[in-house]
Amino acid sequence: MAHVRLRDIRKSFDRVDVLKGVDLDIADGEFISLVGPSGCGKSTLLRIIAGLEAQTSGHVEIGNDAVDGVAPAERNLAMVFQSYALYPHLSVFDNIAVPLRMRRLSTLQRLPGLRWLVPGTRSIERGIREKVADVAELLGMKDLLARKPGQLSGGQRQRVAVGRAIVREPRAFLLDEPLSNLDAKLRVHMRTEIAQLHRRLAATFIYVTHDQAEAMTMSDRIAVMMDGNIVQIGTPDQVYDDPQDLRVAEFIGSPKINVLDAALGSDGQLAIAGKPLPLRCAPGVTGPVRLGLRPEVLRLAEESAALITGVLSHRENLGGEVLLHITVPASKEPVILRLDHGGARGLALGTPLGLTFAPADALCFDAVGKRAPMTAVTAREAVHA
Amino acid sequence: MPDGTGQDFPATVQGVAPAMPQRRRSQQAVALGLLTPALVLMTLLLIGPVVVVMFMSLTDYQLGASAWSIIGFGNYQELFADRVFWKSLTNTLLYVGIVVPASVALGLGIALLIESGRSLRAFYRSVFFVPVMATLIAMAISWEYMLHPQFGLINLMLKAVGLPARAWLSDPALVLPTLAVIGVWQLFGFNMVLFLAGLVSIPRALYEAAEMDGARSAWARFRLVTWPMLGPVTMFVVLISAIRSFQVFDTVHVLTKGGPSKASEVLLYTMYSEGFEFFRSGIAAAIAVVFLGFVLLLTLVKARVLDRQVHY
Repeated sequence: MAHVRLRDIRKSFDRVDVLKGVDLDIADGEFISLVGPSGCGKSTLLRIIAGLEAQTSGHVEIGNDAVDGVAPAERNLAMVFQSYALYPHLSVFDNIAVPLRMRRLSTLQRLPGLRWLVPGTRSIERGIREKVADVAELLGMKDLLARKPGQLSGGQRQRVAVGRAIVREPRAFLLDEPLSNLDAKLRVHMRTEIAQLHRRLAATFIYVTHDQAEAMTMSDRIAVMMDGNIVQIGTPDQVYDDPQDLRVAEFIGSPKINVLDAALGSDGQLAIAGKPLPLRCAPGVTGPVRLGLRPEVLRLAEESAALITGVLSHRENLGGEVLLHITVPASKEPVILRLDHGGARGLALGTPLGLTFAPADALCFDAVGKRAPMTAVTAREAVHA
Repeated sequence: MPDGTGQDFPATVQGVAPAMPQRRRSQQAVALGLLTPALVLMTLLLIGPVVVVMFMSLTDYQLGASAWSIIGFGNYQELFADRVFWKSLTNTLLYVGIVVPASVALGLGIALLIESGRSLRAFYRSVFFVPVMATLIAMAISWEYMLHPQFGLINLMLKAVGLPARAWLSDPALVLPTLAVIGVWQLFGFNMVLFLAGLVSIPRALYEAAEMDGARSAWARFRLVTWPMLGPVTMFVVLISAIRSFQVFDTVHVLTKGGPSKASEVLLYTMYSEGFEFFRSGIAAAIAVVFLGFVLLLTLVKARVLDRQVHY
């Protein structure tokens, strides 16, 4: 088990910069997710850590060893591929045994037939059998060991791929979108299973995904990547509650955060659609600014107390909760409001609605999308204004 | 969608139900009608001649003769007692035994080299494929000049580096291996192209997984991924090579005519000389049946044993 340190990693393919200087410190035993939209460079970064791709510049350190230019096999990492990459001609048992056979047996000891004449093969094979049986037991697939990958379901194949990764003790596990080929229900289930596996192994996990829900539910920390840079690193709560960039705020959270255009008064006070808000941007921020409001911080309000007004355009009933889509003048897309089960019953489409929110829950972003500091305006100031 | 229509209009279901057997019958008639051209052609051009040859092998028919009679297995008895036939059969098997492994190994080796190289791929592919496209008769004549004992290119080169010249086509010990080399030269390009196609279809992720799993050397990755993944292609290549080298005839006919002293006599050449030089069609037919037996055996081996092992 080891920590992983990346220093100023850059990667270009034919003059296209895929990674633009990534620094990342991953602690020993940490579960970190690299998350971002497709094309942000997260998979390339993982492949550079694995050694399957060479960085154009920068340094990778695993444990305390610099591994730049070191072959993947020598880095002692394990990887779960998006396509699982199981050897189709080998049984489940043999698939899981491959990493052990490659490391414990010599070339001669792997030759079919001849291998049994080399002293030591038998006892090493016995050790491998025990280890594979342990892993199969752990992952609950003892009955599948004789099957070929072609005879397994997607979830079972995924489990074999995980088994092949955990059968030896690598310094870190690399997972490249391992759940993206599974159906939605199985994905949710495997999420829990992988998180539990991480707790049990207490190993370093580096998990690449484009699904923010996977990153949120499993990780100790999330690194959000955009356009070849890590935009923000933090715990799931930090990234959700305190996004430092509008793109991060928009990427993390489902349904997406509501973004409203806001006007910036001369004293820094914000207004939406001409209506002043009890919020003031710190001096130095220049407009136009945008206000981010998570669907769950919005509440329905009387029109007189409302900070935003709009018209109900659509209602999504998800059973446990209801999402209201409200068309407002300050945003091209409708504002989404989340209510608990049974909320907004009897509201007809087209009904004018007032919305309010606690000032502390609003997030303000400046013209380039960076988070802008903001203070609540006290009641007296508000009256004065 | 006949079922969908039935559900959409329940009122008509009763009317449709008795018509179903009739429809099935008419479908069968259509199927049969569509099969007929292929069946007729197969019978006329393949199954018919095979049956005729089998029948002919039981007669004493001679090409051009007006009378013939059925003599049972007389032709086979004569054949199996004939030393030339056994010589011809062992020569053919020896030829196949050299050409198949050599052309498969060479085809795979060159395919791997081309695949791992970066530049001039298309050039190498074409160069090695040329012998496959060339007419073998014409190529055999070029080989004849190259192998000429006195002024052949090969002997001149050997002499230039101080090695003794050889009589490639008239030395009984050398003639069959020499013909086999020409056979390999003609065949490996075809095998190479098949292997190239097989190599391209191996997912890259498997090689990456192998590297992560600790397959350090190229040989370890070849054993773990390439060789097993090429299983079906290899099976096909071996079979095609075997059938094609069983059919060796052109080079023998042009270069040696089975000589010297039957050292390069092969099955198809024996059949040709029996049938069209000595006009003993019955014997020739018997040889054809033996030949057919070998090809059938190869096909069965593929279908029964190996297909199961390499299929996933």
